[in-house]
Amino acid sequence: MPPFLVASLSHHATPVALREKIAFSAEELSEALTRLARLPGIAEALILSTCNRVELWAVLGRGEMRRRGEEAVRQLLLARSGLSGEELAPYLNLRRGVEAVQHIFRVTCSLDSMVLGEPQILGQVKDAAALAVAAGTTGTLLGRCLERAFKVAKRVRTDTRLGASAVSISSAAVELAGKVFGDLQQRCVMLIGAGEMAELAARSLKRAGCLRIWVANRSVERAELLAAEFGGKGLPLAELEDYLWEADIVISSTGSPTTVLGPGEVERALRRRKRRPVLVVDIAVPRDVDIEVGKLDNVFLYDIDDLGRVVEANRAERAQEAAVAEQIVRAELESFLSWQSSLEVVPLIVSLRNSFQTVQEEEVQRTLRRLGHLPDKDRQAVEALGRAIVNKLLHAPVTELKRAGAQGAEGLDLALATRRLFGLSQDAPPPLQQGSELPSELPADHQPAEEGS
Amino acid sequence: MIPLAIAAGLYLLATVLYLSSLLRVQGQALLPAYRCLELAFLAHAVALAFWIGELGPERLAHLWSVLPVAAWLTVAAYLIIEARFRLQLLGALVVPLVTISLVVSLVAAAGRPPVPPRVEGAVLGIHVLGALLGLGTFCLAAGLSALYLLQERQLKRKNFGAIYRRLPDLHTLDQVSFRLITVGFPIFTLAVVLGAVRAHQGGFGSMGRAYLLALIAWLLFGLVLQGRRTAGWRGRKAALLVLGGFVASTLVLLHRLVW
Repeated sequence: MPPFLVASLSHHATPVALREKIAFSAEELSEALTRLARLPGIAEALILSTCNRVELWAVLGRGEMRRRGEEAVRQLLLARSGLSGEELAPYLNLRRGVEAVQHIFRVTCSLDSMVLGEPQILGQVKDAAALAVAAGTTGTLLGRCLERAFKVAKRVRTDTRLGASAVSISSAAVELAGKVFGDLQQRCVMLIGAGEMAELAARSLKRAGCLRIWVANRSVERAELLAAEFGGKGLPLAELEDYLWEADIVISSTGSPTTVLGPGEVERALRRRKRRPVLVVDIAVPRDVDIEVGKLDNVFLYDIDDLGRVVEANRAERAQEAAVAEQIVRAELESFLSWQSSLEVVPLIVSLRNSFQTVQEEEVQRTLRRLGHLPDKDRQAVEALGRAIVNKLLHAPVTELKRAGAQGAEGLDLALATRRLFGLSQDAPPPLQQGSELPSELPADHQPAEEGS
Repeated sequence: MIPLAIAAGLYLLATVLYLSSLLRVQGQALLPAYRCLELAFLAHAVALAFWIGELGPERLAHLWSVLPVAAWLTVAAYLIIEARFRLQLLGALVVPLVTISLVVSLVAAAGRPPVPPRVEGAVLGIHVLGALLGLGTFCLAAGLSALYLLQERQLKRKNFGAIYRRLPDLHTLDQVSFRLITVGFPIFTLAVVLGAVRAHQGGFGSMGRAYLLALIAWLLFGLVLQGRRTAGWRGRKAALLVLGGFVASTLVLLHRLVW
């Protein structure tokens, strides 16, 4: 079992009131991280603190140290939340070993996010990783694990459509605009009414590159106030028609009980703009735009329910794509685990011994074939000689590996070096063989991955 | 003829791959079809060398013999458009037509009597090549217009399903189609004029109906270009005109082939 521990307080189980209490501010983060990494039993550490989750990712020490590390993490969270162990228990999710690594992968590729596939989390994990690297709290295992997590996120982004489509009302408006106009650079937006929803949509459109944003409102002051935010222009509702023809995208959200925009006005605007297409998004309830407008050629009219259906369709698609993403996570998890178990000392000692024994047996047999005249007793002596040499040669490295293996980080480096020096494969540790001498005095968690997980 | 038949076979395979993976939404679903098309395109290039070598230059003035050349140039244009605008679905419309045109050429080549005694000269060659190149660009433009109509329908009817997701945006479809017609129209015009001259001299035999169809096609495409400039005909209306023009110009081709 890989010595990972993930302690998480996330949107799944922890209410925001508690998350905000535990969350680490940017200033606190690096100091908290250094403190965490110094706790007994903790070899490597990272803190991920976002508005949706506070998580401590750690690689623990070996044997007894593992338990102490876990306890230290729990104590730290208790101190931060000011709760008792019993009070914290329902919120705190502790994952160990394989599950912990899987969780790290899933979080990084946004499979664990509140909005499935949202893109910010990858950046947040990258920031947390950069901070941990800068603070020197990552090492071989966590470093490699993060590297893999980023690879998973990249694969999920390129191989699936998780996160490819809009799942909020305002981003649905942007998606529809994209389907009509392609590139939104240089496009012109007209907001009718200065409501909050319209503002949100306008903000998204501005981010997507729209050039000008005008606001037409009953009160010009309010219009100008909002327009100023986007570097646009505010105008009274009465002047709407003078400007309407220039707008590629119209977003209407007035509180008016009657329609604000009818087919006549839009037809006149269309004629003036040489029939270039217009996207009209009506997010007002009751609706602002006459449904006849939607029947005009080159006019695409959507109301709030239509946006809702875009979101709904995209959510369904995301859920489907999530299944594909989970497969990617699973595959990468397996590959990471097999790499990680190649660092385990026990299987390493077994394969080292196997490799020496193979050489010994081959060489002894070859020599004995040429010494056919020897009596049986002497043959046995030659075989014993071979075994003795190999055992003597192996004694020091095996003892050292066992010792270092109990130390955690040092064991990893030594294991890597040993595999390289003796040309032992990194990927597939050989299964334990019956009868080979196992270092039985090693701690219980030094069993190979197949049994431990 | 055998190399061209091989190319046609590869196009057929690409067609099947395109059609079978059409509505799968996953990002890479059309990749095998696209790779197969690239392979077919290369085989086609090699086949053209054999084709021209076998037939000899004097036969190249014939419609069925120039068709594979025009088809190849059309695929080349498609591959360029694909690289620039990622319009993979266009392949699903264009590749079947290319396949059919190669099959038509092969059938015609097999059934043709030996070279007619009178060599028709360069004017005929230019007329045929121009007409076919025009047709090639119109074919691509019509494919884009068909996709436009399909996507426009999704957007108007608010069907936010697989087709909506899969198809590119209206602006790109409209723009690329329009640009192709801007390129194809002068070439086609030249072909129509040369055809008129030859028909007047009696060189092409009686071609009343074909000529009328060609004129209709020419008028429709002219209308697309002029209507957009002056009255702002774009979107659905323009797409319908393009489709109409393509049908008319294809009928000219069919008429000439059968006749």
